[in-house]
Amino acid sequence: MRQVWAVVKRQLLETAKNPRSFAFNLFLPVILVVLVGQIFNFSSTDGSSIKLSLPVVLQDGTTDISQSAFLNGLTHIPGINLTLEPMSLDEAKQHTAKKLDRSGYIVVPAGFNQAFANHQQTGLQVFTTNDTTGRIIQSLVQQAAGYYNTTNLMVAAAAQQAQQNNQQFNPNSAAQQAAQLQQSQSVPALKLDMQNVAGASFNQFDQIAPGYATMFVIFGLNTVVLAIIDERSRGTMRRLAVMPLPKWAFMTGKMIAQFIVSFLQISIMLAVAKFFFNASINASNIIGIVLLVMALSFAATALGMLIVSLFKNESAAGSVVTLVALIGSAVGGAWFPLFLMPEWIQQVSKVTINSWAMSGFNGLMIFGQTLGEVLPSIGVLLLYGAVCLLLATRFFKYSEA
Amino acid sequence: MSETTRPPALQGITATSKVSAVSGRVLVQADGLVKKYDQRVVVNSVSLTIQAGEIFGLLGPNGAGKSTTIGMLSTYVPPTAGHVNINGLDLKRDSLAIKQVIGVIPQELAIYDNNTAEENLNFFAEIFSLPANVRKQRIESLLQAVGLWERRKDLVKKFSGGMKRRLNVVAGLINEPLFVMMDEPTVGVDPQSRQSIYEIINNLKEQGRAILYTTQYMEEAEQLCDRIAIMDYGQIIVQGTLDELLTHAEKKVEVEKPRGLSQLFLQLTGREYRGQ
Repeated sequence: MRQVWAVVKRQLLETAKNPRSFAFNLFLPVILVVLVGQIFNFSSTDGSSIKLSLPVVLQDGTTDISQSAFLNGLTHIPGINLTLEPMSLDEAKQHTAKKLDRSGYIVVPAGFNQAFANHQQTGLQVFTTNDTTGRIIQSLVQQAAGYYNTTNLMVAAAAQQAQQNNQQFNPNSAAQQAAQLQQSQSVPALKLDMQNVAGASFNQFDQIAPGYATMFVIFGLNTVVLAIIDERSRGTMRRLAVMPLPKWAFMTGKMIAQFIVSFLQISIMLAVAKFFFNASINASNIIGIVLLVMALSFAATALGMLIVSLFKNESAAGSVVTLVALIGSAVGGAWFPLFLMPEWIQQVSKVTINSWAMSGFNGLMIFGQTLGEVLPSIGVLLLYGAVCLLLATRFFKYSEA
Repeated sequence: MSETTRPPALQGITATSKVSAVSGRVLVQADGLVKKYDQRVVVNSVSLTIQAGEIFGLLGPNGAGKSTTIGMLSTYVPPTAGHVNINGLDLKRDSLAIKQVIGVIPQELAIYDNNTAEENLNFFAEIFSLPANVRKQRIESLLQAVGLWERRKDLVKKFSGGMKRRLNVVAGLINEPLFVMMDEPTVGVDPQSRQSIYEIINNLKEQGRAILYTTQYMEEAEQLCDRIAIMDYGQIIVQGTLDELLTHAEKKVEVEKPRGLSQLFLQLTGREYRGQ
């Protein structure tokens, strides 16, 4: 074990003294996560081309929303593709409580349509999550309510004017009349009751931080892969092979060093996501996350050892690492949430490390799953690592003996 | 050269090196070594012995089989046939024990550029499980011996070619090996560094270690080696002391007695290019 530790120490020392590798492994991923997180945050707030589904609870007991001019108006706001879904109050609450499902619901009181048609005062309850999507819903309803109130005032003013001027309509004086009416009305025709619903907000860093951490852990395999290839071409591996350092000790040492680097890499990224962007890492899921990070680091490191066992030169091995990292990230849920991808991609992605890691991270950080529920993901990662390690041991050429 | 008259740079080596081998005792014995890759015979029936305190030169053109022979003697390449005994240990049976008593100085610079000179030697010393105090003492004496002690904290990548070559040599001596294999250790080295390496080799010989030395420089072999073997096409053509080789050549080749090793080498191995 002393020899294994010597290999670990030397490798870590070399990694730490190589500024490019150090920056690539630790700082670049953090910077990228922050940048991508901000970009996603901005595009959500901007709201252009956003697709939303909003549960509607009709308290008059019907499910037909087509009769409501107000609700129809909500679905025609430019730039927003809003689908209204009639459902019961309980169903709406359940959907909203589930992360990444629905971000709120509106409750339409009985008699709402009639009051709307008769330009009478009425109210609407809007329940939203305290996140970007929730705020978008609030803004949409407010916008629609604004249209409604203006229309209502214009219609009332037109009716008043027509009565006063023997059916003659003057748009300018009607507008003045509408303004006067607005000032005299202390309560708008449509009063909104906006409320926040707790516990269902989705933080984009819950997806982005583990996604990019997983991707960079695989990119980071270049460190161990290139280090071993360098040892081969430089002759240091041959020198070690004729010293009392067995193959298993050399491989174990290299693996432990890379495991430590990978573990630190993911931990730092998740810590940044937690402390600066309030990602969902807390007492209830921390054990699961740590176990998942360990399993991911092991699986990725073993995959690196397998790659370096099969590919002997720098360009071939480097290309394979890049390919595995990019394809794995694209289909494995590192860039986009796995559960939003087509079913066939979700199935194909199961050959990647990213997929199992992300399904675990999503479960713990987004869907609030327990450790027991993500144990299959952790188990598959460990199995993945064990198989890679077994194959790597079989194919790794330390000496000709 | 006595310890007191030796340059300060070399005093360190003998300060910590104690060899139990008795000069003249056979330390290395190889019998009928063969190495085949598929049907290609790279080394064919090579036999040699090296005694304690002896420098044995192994010469030959490129591709003659010198490096493969060193590979087999150093446990890196398993022989297809033949036996090797090093310090009473059988190569096949006791390879791990043999690794403790051999030192290999490869032709390439097999050291870590991104570590310091001290870190390099400390790492190799840890592989031999040397205790911390022994490691410290030995690293100091070796670095002093090759004039790198003052630069011990510098990264190797900042070293000149000669400095790297000297570090490469002492990295193979960290375990104070009984049998040292040196594969062209002076390639591309400036005269000062070369002289330093010669002094180390002579010092190792004085300490009673067995040395297998390969080189392409004939004058180097003439100057350093007690006995010389010339290899070609995987076989040892001749071996003996320089005088024996020259006399043997005069009798066997029936030409005028070669004026030196270089002429003998060309007479025996021909003038056509190799390794093309």
